[in-house]
Amino acid sequence: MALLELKNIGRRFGHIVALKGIDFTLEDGEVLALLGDNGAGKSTLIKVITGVYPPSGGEMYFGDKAVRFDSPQDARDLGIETVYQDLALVPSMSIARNFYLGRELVKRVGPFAFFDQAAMDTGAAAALGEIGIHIRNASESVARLSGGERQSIAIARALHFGSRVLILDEPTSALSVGETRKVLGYITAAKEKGIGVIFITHNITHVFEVADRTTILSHGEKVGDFPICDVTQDDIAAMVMGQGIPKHL
Amino acid sequence: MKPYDAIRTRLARSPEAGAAAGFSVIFLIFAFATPDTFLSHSAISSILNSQAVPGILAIGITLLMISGEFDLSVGSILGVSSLAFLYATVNGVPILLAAGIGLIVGCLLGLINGLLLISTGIPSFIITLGTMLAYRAIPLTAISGGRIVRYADYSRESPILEVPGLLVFVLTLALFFIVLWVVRDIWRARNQSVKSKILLVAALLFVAYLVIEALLPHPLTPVKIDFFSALNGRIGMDNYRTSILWWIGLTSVFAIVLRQTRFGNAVFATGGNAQAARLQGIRIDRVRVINFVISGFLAALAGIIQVARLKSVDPLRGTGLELEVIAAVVIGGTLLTGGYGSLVGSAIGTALTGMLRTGLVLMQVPSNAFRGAIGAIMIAAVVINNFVRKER
Repeated sequence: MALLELKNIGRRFGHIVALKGIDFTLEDGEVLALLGDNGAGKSTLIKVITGVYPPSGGEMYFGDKAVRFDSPQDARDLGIETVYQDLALVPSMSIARNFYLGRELVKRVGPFAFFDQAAMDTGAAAALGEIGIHIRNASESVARLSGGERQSIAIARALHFGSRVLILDEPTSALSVGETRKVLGYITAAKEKGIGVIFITHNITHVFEVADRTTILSHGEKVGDFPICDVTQDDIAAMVMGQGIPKHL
Repeated sequence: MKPYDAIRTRLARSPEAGAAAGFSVIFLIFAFATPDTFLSHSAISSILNSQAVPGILAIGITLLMISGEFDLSVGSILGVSSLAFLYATVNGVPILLAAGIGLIVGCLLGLINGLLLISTGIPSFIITLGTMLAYRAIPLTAISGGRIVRYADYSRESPILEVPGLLVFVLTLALFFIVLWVVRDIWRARNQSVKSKILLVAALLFVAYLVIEALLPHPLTPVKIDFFSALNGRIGMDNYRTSILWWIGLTSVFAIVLRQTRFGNAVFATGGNAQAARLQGIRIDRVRVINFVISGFLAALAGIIQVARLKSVDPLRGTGLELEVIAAVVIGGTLLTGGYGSLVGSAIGTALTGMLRTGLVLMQVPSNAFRGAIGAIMIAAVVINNFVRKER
């Protein structure tokens, strides 16, 4: 039984067909690289999975249950967490406040609920420490952190809040080499926790480093699913560029 | 870290630090220049009395600005709600209901701003510039020929709010139980020392004593409140008015909401990075609309408090107030771009503008120079804040 399964998903915007007949699966503890050229439909597919766009047709199953997402909140409630490249954190807020944004820890005092700032500071620091991120001070503003540090915090947050499916939308595109290593390390860590990871990237080298399988899209349709051990970088490049499936596959 | 850098980091973390420093410097200048007149109860009370109304407006403006929005229409909302309140009162509507009407009008006008914003996506600067003009047309057409509506033309007596004895009893009891509830939760919280528990019990017993003392001698007697005095009457001998208490009280309540509750966090997140906030499940449109309603509500409340003292409304009531308030909020360290700011800063900024106005008059500077001084100080405040914030 797949963790997440999409059958014959379509999505149109007026006359434009963005996705057509997409079958897609993700298993527990699997790292899936979602590849395709710009405009291939990767982002639209992700937005269908995260509830941003309802699909125009097709079925979605989470576990073995048919699901329908009307809002991003529905997807989040099932543990589908997405880390977006630039949209992950609020720079003017502290690390702890970002970490718990929308899920703040409160203490009840009579009819009122106030922040439990101390619990959030220690909680955020502990959760980050768990996946190997050590911060000086959880009350520090995110504006002072580097791109890699911000990305790590967003990933740590997604992992901490019981995510079952972690979607990373080009997580390494703005990072230095060292920071990229770390982020790839978090992907492996998530996989070891049994989380299904969907990983969008343009960097084929990273695909070979962490992914188990790849799903390739071209012009809104699926080219195919391939275990990483069966394909070469040249095969992937050819398929991403719309040259079809190489003969030897 | 060098001490200089440490101070700068510290300052940068508190938005109100710049305003507090500026306030102190200007206060000292006036205190040395005109010690006899400036450091008198009459000068200080006049500064605080005059700033209570802009100070209450500044709360709503600050919340909006932190969430990345702007409200130019507060002056007009204040005018319309003041008029609605006074018209209702002089036409025989019970005073509390009349105030309710004024507040509802304020909330509705704020709601219109908010709904226009989320349905059109036009910047709130443009929307509220439009509604500022549109709302102003209401008192201009309702009060014909530039007349002034005066309470005294309709009644010689101050409106009295009579609270039935039973209601007083129920309210006191409810308050007591809320206090009891709060005390219980504090008691249960971790890390409570014996000393703080003793203090809690003492506080509880004191409240209980007050309740018994207040209720027992006059059970179920109605309480009569002079409505205008409660909102904006004199306290004591030195001309300080209750409006100052409303200003401080409302600022404190909203400051706690902003810093210590989920809603406050949502306000900061909406202004700091709206998309990130939305993706974390924060309903950013709802936050924006609520802030516009709060701003409208506070404008109406400030208007009613002002009517309680002036006892009249003219068609231009509140005109130009929005710019003065926005200047005060910016001086208080809140960023126009959203995501950063403080209500304490706004209160200090509001007090600073009032102090400047009175202080310059006392130094016998022509009163029109005041606007120039406010403008210069606002720009200086932003430049200094930017400089300090770079090293946050």
